[in-house]
Amino acid sequence: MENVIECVNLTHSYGNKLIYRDLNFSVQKGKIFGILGKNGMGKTTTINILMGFLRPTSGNCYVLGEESHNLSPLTRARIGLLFEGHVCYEFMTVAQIERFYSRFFSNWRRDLYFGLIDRLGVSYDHKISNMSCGQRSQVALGLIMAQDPELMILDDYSMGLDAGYRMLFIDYLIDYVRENNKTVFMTSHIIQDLEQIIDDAIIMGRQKILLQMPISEFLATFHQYHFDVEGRLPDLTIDDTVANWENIKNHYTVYSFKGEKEVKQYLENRGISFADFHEISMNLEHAFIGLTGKY
Amino acid sequence: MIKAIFFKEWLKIRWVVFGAVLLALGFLTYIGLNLRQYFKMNDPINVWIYFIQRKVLYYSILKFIPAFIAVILAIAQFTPEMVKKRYRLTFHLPYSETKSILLMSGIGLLIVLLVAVILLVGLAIIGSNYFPAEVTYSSLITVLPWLLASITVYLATSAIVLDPSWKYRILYALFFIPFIQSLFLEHGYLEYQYSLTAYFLVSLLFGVVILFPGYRLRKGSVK
Repeated sequence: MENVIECVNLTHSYGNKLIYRDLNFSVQKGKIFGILGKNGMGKTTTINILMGFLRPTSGNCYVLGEESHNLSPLTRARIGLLFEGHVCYEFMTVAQIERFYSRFFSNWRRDLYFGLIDRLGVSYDHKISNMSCGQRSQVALGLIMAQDPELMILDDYSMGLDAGYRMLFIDYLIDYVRENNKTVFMTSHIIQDLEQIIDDAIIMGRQKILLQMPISEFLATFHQYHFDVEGRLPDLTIDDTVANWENIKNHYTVYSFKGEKEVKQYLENRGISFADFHEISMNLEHAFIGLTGKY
Repeated sequence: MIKAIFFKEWLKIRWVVFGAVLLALGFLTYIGLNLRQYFKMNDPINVWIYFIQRKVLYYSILKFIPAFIAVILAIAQFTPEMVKKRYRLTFHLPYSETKSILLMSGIGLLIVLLVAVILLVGLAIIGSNYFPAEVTYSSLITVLPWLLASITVYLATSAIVLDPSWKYRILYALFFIPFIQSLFLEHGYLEYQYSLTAYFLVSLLFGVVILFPGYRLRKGSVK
């Protein structure tokens, strides 16, 4: 399948601060791809690199077949970009901003934009600077949808949105993307919202990718086990079996891609006596925290 | 696309343009009324001695007005692009970033020129009412360095506002200020008459500087 985004051996640092090293990932056409990570793990850095606003320290990124730091205007027209915080020209009104953007895109679909705006119940001469963050997010989404891009890059769409607007955003996005077979590359700090929308994801840890796989596979293969340790409290190590672990007193939680039997065997092999061993099901947010840790 | 960029720039600067035209007309009116007052209250020969022999420029109040307007204009035009890094919106448009910057600053320069034309025409009308053609002509040549300075001030302010780095902002200021200062050193009429062409050519060269922060923003100086 055709790759819409491809990053090869991507390394970036700000001065001496290494953000990540040798990042490799690709996004297939028609997929909704999420990049998940805690604050400061390099999500926005990656988007800035993809859009050519930042030149990586080393490595290459290709977007729609072109080098990301040298995207031609024609390729930019095929990419809808939502900036963190729903940045838009706030000195314009709802109608003015549509008039402005419509001149740049040949397949402009004003019906999609005004359809979304009409749902908000704001007048077309409403100035964007006077709108709430939620309303602004709909304006920004409406503009990207009207642009009819092949690839949508959404940088933390959920920032500043309450639950209602987040749902509204996601509902419109899912409907639009599925109906029009778009590719989406998105980040969000609200992991639970992404569960229902993304196909594939990478989870970024400190300076590296912790995991890249379809979300359904991640949720099916990643487990959370609880047990109580009897006797001396052991320090576990992160390895092939233990992806992460934590304890409060003698109550232990182990996160693992291995099955219950293998984990039990693993503990027994290390002489750890335990009781009340059981698995607890996880949603994406729990699994994400399980893999990346709470701190 | 060009129309759309004109539209966006107009939305940002329309009130500044309106204010600049009013300011220019207001100062011209003041100069006209002031001159009328001089001629009413004094003998023409005394007025002549005062303005011509003693080289008192009856329009000196205009000296820094075009430059002031240029500063406000550049701030009004480029600050909204820098707040929340909105320049990324402009640079993501399917339009060459170099052309975008040139077009945006070209629109600003058009307004600076509009103000210059208003002042020149106004001064020509006022001067021709009271003085012989030679004096009116000399007044127009004498204000040209101030108008030229307003172009350079516009370019300098734009570059300073557009660049995200304070280091470069200071560099631009150090680069532009001596040249701008040198355009305000007159002590009488027509003193720049023979050097204006050279000043004009140097101003055009300064125009290239405006591309530099744009290039830095687009090609990866963003943090």
